[in-house]
Amino acid sequence: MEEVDNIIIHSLRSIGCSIDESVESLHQFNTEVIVEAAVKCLRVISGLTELPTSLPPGMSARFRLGTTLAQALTDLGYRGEIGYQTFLYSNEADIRRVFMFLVDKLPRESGEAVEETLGASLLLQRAISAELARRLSGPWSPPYCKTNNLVLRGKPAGLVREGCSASHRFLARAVTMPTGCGDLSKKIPKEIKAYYSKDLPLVSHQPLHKHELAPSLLEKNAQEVTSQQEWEFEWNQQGLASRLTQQEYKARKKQRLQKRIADQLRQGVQRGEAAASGTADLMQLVNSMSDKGAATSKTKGSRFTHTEKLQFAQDAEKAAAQIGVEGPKAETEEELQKKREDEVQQLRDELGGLTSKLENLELDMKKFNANMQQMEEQIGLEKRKNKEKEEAYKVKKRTLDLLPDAENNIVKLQSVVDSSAQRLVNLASQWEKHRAPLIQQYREVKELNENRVSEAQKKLEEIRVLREKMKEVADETRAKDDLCKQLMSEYERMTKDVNRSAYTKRIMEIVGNIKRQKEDIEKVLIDTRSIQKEINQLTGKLDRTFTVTDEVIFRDAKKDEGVRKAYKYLAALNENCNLLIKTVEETGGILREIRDLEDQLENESHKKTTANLEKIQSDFNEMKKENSTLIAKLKGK
Amino acid sequence: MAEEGGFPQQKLLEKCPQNQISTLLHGLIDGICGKCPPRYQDYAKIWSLEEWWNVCDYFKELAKDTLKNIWSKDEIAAHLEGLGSSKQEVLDVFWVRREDMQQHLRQETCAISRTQLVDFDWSLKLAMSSDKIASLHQPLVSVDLDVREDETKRVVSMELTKEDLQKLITSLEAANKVVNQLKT
Repeated sequence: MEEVDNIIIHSLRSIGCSIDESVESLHQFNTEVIVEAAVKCLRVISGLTELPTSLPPGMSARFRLGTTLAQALTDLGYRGEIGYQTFLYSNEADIRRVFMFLVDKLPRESGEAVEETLGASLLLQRAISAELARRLSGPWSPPYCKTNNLVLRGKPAGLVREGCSASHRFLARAVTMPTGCGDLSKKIPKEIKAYYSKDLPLVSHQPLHKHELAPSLLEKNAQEVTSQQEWEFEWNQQGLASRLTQQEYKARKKQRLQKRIADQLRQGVQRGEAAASGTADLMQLVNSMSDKGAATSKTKGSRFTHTEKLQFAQDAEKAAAQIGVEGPKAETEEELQKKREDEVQQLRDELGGLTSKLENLELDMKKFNANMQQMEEQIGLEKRKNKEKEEAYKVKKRTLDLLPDAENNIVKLQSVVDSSAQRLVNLASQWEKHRAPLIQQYREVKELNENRVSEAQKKLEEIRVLREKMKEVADETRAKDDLCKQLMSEYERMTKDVNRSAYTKRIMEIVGNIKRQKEDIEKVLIDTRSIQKEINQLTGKLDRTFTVTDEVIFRDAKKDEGVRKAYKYLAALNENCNLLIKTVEETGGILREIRDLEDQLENESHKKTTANLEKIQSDFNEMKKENSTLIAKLKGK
Repeated sequence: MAEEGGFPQQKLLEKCPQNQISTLLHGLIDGICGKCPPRYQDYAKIWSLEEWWNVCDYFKELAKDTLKNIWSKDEIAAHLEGLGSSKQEVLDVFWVRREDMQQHLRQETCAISRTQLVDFDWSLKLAMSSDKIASLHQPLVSVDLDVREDETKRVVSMELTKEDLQKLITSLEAANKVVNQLKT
């Protein structure tokens, strides 16, 4: 019962009941504490607020409070005997039952339920609020009292940064560090070694400010990791499929990129030339140059535009110088203006004329170029035709030469044709001879090659699968680690809860007890059964012996007087014995009853009946007094 | 032009004690790579200010030239004929720091746009509540982009919610995809 009491008292304290530290069991509860605890429980469970937590002085008020409490409890679904007396004239067992019911009905801490589902965000919120509470625990101090805005706060004291005047941006600089020092078997060239040992500053000295060191190192590390990852990704995706070594792959990629860049640059230059030839662009360029001259700012551009600009800038300067020479002439401003305008107009016209001429010329040039190409093509065509014709002519000429001695020549030709046909057949058969083994070989080699290719592909596939698996496994490990950490932290939090462990311990004990009791009960049952059997056997035996004896003696009794007497005695004996057995059974029953009654008596004595009776008596007297005063008041009116 | 103009500066370097030459040159190359260049105070006893400038400019240019023209070791040595005894040392320095300089100069050359992103910084914040809502719990990320525009640095700061950040990241990923397409 102690465990139960402990749990009840713990729960009651946690909802804010003022129970003395020395109280360890419900036995020590008095009426005030009981009423307060019950009222507070009801408040938490059903939000009843109109009930007072302390016992009122008036007897009738107390009575009313008791009845309301009892009513509330029955409304909640308490099954059992309850009334005002349960609270006012308490006995331990009833009180325990009532409080067990109430504690069971107490709502579970809502936090716990949410925590299990929402985990991370709730943890974060809790951490934030804890941190804020920790920071609020100390007084504010002005900035000049803290170095680097650090203050000691909380328990146990930890350094906390307040405000943001001492924080820095995350600014990274490029840092250099020796490479290739890890592998001792590879020799570092002498000059590099000299640089590392003598002139390369330590990493901690490389950034301009001290606080840039950490970001720089982090950045460098991140950079290396990402570049490695990217390379691995690319190698997995394309590198492996290309079936080159890493160096070859890199070299090929470099070549490709360089070619591409060169192409782009060439195109850019061409486009730039095309753009520069337009008049509008020229004007714009001159304008922009004059603007830029004032701003003295350098814009990045292709080298071509830079040189262009420089040329035109020089021109502009020259023009300005000329104007400067003309400037001093004594002329009125208007004239000057007019003159300038005229000049500008003239120059513009000239420029327009020139550009249109230029355009025309370009057009002509294009036309001529096109013509030239056409002509060249035609010439090529003609040349080819010529050659063909020459060939044809040669053949015809030879046939004509042979014509005069036609018959002889025909025979000769026939023989020549025959011999060449013979030769052809010969050659063909030879060729066949050579061809067969070669083809055979070719086929074999081809097959071998195909096999190899397919094998290589298979292996590549395998490699890819393995790599993917590797990654998966690594991810899984990471996830599991995270989970493990989270569970560990949760576990740590849980162990602090004494209540829970007490519950579980108690439950385990109870389960153990029940098991033991069950075993005992079974043993007793078996005992009882065996005894019952024995009794039955004995009574049966008795009955049988009696009937047998009865028969024997009855038979003899007809003949003998003494036997008749013996028969009478037997009957009497049997009757007496039956009576005796009955009496013994009755005694057993009475003993059991006595034991029950004793138990009841003990129970009743536990209920502090006499004390309660006295209390009831005194309360009754008080009530009577109250009633009489009330009646007196009524009469007085 | 480098040969004729170079000789006086190469002569000037001889004034420097042997053991400081490599330090000076490494410092100059550090300057090219965007770190701290060497200070005049450390060399004030050796050169006048004008001489110092001359030496610095000359060797900086020379270092860049080695990369620009893709000189081999022998070719660099040919350009350092006038140095005499300290030639080997200068050669070593130029040769060792080739990679560093190349990397930095390449970055500078690649930065042909008018505006370029130099660096960025971010920080994550959790808005617990606002003036109207008691419990907000909205994560916000503030991103600072260091942008160089016409040789002046500008910081573009912005505060993004989760959706905005997602948008930004998708657009950046699209850009990255284009770059990757160029690469392959």
